[in-house]
Amino acid sequence: MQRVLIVEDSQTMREWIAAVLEEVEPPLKVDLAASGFEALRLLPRQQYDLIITDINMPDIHGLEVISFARSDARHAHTPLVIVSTESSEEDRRRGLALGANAYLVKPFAAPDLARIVSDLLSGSMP
Amino acid sequence: MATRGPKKTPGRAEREFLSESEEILERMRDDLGACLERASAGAELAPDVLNRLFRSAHSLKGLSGMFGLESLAELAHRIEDLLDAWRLGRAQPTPERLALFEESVELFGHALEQLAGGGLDAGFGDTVAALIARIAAENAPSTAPQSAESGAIDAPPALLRALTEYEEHRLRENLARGRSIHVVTAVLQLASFEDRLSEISTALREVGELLSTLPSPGDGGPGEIRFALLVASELDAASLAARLELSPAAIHTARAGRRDPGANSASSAELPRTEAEPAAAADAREGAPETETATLRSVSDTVRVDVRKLDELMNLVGELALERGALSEFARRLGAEPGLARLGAELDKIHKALDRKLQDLQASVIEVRMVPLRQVFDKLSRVARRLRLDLGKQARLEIKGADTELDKLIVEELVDPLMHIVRNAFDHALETPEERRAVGKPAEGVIRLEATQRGNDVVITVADDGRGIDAQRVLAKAIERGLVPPTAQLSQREMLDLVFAPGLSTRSEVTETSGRGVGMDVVRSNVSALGGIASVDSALGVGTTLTLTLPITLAIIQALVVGVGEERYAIPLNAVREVLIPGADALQRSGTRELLALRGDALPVLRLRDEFAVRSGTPAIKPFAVILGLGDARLALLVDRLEGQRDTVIKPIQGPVRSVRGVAGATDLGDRSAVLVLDVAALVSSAPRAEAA
Amino acid sequence: MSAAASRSWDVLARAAAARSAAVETRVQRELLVFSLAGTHYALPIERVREIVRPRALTPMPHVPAEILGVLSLRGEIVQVIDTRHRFRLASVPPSRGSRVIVMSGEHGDVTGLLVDGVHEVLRVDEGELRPPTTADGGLITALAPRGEGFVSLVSPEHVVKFDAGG
Repeated sequence: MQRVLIVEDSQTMREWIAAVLEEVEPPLKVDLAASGFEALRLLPRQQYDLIITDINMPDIHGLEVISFARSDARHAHTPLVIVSTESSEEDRRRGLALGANAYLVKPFAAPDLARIVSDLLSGSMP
Repeated sequence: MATRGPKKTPGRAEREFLSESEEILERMRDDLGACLERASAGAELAPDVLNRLFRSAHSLKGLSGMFGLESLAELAHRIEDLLDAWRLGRAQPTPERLALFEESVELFGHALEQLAGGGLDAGFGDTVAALIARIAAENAPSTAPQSAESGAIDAPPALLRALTEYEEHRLRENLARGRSIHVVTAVLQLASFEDRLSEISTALREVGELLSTLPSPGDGGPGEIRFALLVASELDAASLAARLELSPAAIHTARAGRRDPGANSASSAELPRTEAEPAAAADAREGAPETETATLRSVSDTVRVDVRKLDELMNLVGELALERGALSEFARRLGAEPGLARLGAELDKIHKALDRKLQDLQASVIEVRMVPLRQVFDKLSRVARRLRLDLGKQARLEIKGADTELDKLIVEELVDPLMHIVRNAFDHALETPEERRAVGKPAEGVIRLEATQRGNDVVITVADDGRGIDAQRVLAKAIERGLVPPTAQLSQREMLDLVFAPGLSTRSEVTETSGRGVGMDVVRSNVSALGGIASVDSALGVGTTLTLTLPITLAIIQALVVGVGEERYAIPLNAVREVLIPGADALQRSGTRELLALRGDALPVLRLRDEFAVRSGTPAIKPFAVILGLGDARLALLVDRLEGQRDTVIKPIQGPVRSVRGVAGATDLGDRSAVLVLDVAALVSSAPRAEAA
Repeated sequence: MSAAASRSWDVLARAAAARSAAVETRVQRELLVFSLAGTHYALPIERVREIVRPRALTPMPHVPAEILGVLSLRGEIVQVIDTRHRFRLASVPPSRGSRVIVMSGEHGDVTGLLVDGVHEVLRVDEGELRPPTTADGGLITALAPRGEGFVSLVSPEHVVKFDAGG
């Protein structure tokens, strides 16, 4: 079973993303991190097939989480999706420059997220 | 059968949304309060507070957007734009802009209330649009005064690459101010990095601004994690190392500041140190109190729980208490059987131990529901601050007892009544400074808000030193409105009490401040819906004191169960003064009213059978009189029989009928049937006034 | 992976999905069929929380006659409406087949509906629903095919809605 990490400080948003992923076929194992710090703890211990992260979080932000993930050989090439309400075009550019594969701006539609996740996991998206 | 399990909780998503949004909004109000205070002191707003406000607005935008609440998402978006411009130094938070910001936050709060109540009001979209237009006009884009300073920084590229736009702005800003930029490296244990990291972060914020925290894997294997912290400070690397108790090797100076003695910058000599010092000290203070780490850490060992979950827990405890009752009864019967007395006694001992533990459990669950009144009091002082500005009255709000704890649900319900009372005090009760001076009072009025716990009640008083209430005028008004007969002879207290009567306002016009169509009658009914009492005391020219007495918790009450016909009712025991069987001559008719003579007093009588139109059974020949008392008001309630005293959990009655006169809720006494709980405050106040004829 | 786990997020998902142009269109509805005076009606199953046998109701004072009283569902106190009254039918005392359908409101509040009988769960495609033939003030929202004929799909909001006039 493929394993996905969701990093999102908003509980509502976190659980919603998890609910969307529940509908993805084949079924996924989903881990939830409620803060950047929680993600730091999980990433070195677990091989993830996909990471979904928010940018704006109170402890450390998403760009730092991405940088951390990418600096570890284990997650150097793991597909990575940023979900953010980001209004700054500049931060979007920076996220992609750090090696994120997709950038979804909230509010996004459930089918869009589901499709991107499926595509990234099946390798049909660069 | 198509029965769905009870686990299905509809509206969970909405509740989740509301609870998270309210939490965010509350944090914004606190931060906004801090900003307003700094702004009124003429100080620069703390960058990390602005950034936190930005993040909050950002989260609200995301949440509202996901819910398809377009107007709210748009509003949050505009708030976010305001804040983004401030935090990136593109615009200044002028008083006008801060006022718009505050208004937006309040509007968002109203929206959440409306959503909690079922949906946004029809005109809400227009209100938002109007506000957005004003924000747009105020927040017209200006050219970014980007600090020219950037230049080369000797920091790891990975660290610089992971900076957000905001962080980069702060970096430039600090460079422009001539601060040194350092990179502090800490290698920590993965399993326990948070405590040490927050220690370092807090220390860094005390001596400068923490710009960014970049994690990377440690060299010592998967158990380690390395953090690079980018910090701007007036201190040089050596002083910083000493302050942080770190090895100097852990600190690398990426760019030496202008005031750094070892600086290579040519401009350092031009700045006289004496002038720079106070600014540096002010900057350090600015960063110090706003440490985020403390809150972060407290979040990690706190669990957010829906109050409804606690209600469920409370119900279970209540049900356990009922089972325990059955056990006690069984032990008693066992003890009465010949030859089984010893077993009965043993069972009784077990029962008693269980009872003690159960009481502990009950106490713990109640304790979990308790929150300090501080939240509400803080809100009130924000309102007071604004009223002071709007009304031009000189007044201060003094707060005492903000630590007093009450059931969370009660605290929430208290916001509106207290808000109204405080607004009233500002608006009507306090005189203008000129009027006050004329009567020899200090120009500045005082409103004292105080909470104290007394036994199982919490007493909240709001006292002002204003003009006081003219009881005679209140009476005249009440007579004019037909609320009391012109012949009525009322005591001073009864006259004052008329301010709570529906449809009475001593000022005819509705004002901006205390308008909104909420009168003292609503205050009283809100408070009695919580099982409390509102009363007023006033002396002309001296001031007015409003007193709210509230039960500490709604969760468990002791109740007297009474019977009428085949029906049973529960009466909260705190309102029961005594129970008696009136003698034949104690009940007297006086016109249309029935009175009970009790130790020289004549109490109004209410027959529950008539009040609730109970048709079953026949009225008892010798009914019981339950003497109810709330504050000074008393009432004799006649019932057919008494069924004993019980601990009960009052539940709201769900369904289309929202409220029923005389009914506060219902309870299940453990036999799967619902028993209505009487609303004593409503019954007492609906009973005819027992005035001396 | 069960759809039930995420059902409570329907609201969110719907709000989000509404923005996407390419939404799945084939939607299945599950309806609970009940009867009143020999006529069959249906309610959307997602709003039905449970079905219980009627038991002694506690009467409430000062309420219209259509509120039969309240009952306790494991400590939760719920008003029960005489559904016949909603359809302008004469009230009858509960019989052996009578049931109380416990409905969840949109905001988590719960109401009981006393009906003459509860039958089966009907599965229909959203596309098979027909508009109602008569305007019932919104009480009937659609007609759903059932066997040879149709059943009226009742609006949970309207059947529960209380107008002060009774």
